[in-house]
Amino acid sequence: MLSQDHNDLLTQTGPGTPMGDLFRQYWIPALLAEELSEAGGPPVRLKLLSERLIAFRDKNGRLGAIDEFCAHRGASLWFGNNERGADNTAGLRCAYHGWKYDVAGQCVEIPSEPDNSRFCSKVKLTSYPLVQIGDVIWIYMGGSAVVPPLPEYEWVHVAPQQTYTSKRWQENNWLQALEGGIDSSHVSWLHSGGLKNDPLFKGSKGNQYNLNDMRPFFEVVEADGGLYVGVRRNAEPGTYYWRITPWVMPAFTMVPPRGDHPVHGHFWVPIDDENCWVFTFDYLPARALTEAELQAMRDGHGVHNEYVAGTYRPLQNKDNDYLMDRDAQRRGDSFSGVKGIAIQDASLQESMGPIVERRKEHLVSADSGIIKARRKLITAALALRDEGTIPPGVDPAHHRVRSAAVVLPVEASFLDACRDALKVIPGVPQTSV
Amino acid sequence: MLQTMHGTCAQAATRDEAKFRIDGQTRIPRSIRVISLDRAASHLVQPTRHIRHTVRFLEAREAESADQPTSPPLLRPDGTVTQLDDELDNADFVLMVATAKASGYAAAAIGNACALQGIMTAAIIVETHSDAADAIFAVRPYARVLLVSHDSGDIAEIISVVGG
Repeated sequence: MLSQDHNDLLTQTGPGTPMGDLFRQYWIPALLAEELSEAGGPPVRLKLLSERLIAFRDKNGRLGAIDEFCAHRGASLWFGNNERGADNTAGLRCAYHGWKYDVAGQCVEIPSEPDNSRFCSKVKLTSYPLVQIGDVIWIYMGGSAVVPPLPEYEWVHVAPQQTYTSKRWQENNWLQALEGGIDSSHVSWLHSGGLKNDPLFKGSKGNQYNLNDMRPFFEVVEADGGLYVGVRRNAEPGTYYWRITPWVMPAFTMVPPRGDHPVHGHFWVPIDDENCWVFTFDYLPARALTEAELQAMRDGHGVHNEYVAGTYRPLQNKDNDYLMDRDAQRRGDSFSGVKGIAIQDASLQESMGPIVERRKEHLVSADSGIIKARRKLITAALALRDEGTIPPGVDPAHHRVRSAAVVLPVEASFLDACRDALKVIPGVPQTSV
Repeated sequence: MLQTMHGTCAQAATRDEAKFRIDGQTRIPRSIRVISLDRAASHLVQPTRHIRHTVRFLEAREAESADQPTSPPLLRPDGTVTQLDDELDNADFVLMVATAKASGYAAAAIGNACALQGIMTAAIIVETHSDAADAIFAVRPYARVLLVSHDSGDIAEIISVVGG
């Protein structure tokens, strides 16, 4: 169990909260690049860390996220025109009375004022920088004094043909979603069907180890940026099958790979305290994704999902009971009756409620990764609040990690044996079974 | 392209969503000059002098003839004299206040100077007991916004709301 105070500290990420301040130390995923692909294209409204924003790529190609609402009368700038004036000043013009803002939130024109008025220079909306790296547009929502170095996660730095990212809206607090990414023990149960059937999972030898040993052992090891969670299962006599999941603070996890399948992982981003974005990626360090792999991802296989048309809401969602199929459950096609790895996770995590009541839970030793992650988050949030300590995971060196799946002699330490496998070495394939 | 969350205005504009509006300072207070165009207007303005420290209160000396200089001297509340050009330096907004007794000479000088410098102008003409048609006619060309009112409380309201 966790005290209510600690649960509140961990789950509340709005402005002025300790965990909100912690998140505001990092560049975090805000949007997929496809959402703002065109200079001068439509603005996108988004909410992150309980702040309503409008993001746009101006006609000069610059990205920015600003307060969604016009300083004049509070109308949404989502209706605005993304335009460039004769003087080359690009910005978003409110559709109500024509106030115009640049990507930094600076008001650059108030049409009701005289032509040569300087008054607009006194109006500025809150703004945050955006930067595109790979398929993802990242945001830094901290103060402007010291902007941290840009993210160096491998999945956004490999060549475009080697990577694919999707995102989905999950209707619960970010932490219970993240904890699903740290908790490897549910895979043998909840995802047992996917290991056999999913085109992006099936066929690896590691799957057999997963399915043959339903009582894994766990080792949790501190890392500079967070944790490594090692899970071992019996393999051939004298050996263990290890699956190693890195967690980089605050919200990045990677799933250990399977055979030659693409490596996947997630970034769990709070929208508000009862919703989060799950940015989901697949990539390969040393080869391009095949057309079949890409098509499987677009079709919602692997850790991706299908969508309600025109949205990032999963097609299977809580309003339709995730299209649960009791017959598929009886047949063993899917352990929970829900199709797809991603929605299997989402359905169970959303069923816990918008913010799980952790004072009522009964964790077991197999949940050591979760216990340790909570501890590290609390410690980092309080150290930041009380002493201004920069938290783990801000340094880009902490981003250069990989997951791994290996078979090792029983006497081997997974961390010693996998030291290179857990590091990013450009062009070198993932370590996988 | 897929719509991100709150893809409909029905979702985005709920009471629940309103709590996620950013609660931050979006503007620096305007630098305001309130210029009374006649002595009676000066009396009406007097109760508003405490409202904002970013407001300067001035009175245009009443015209004696059409031959007056184009830039009339201005009186500060302490009775000292100042010049229009000096007072308009760094101003964002000039509010002229007049009664039926005002003439257009000072309004013309102020309005023209503001137009040159890109300063927003407004005028309140307070009609008390007498018809202010002449004053309205005289001031109208020189104020971008004109409010004709029977309520002198509008002066404080404009200063307070527009100046914030």
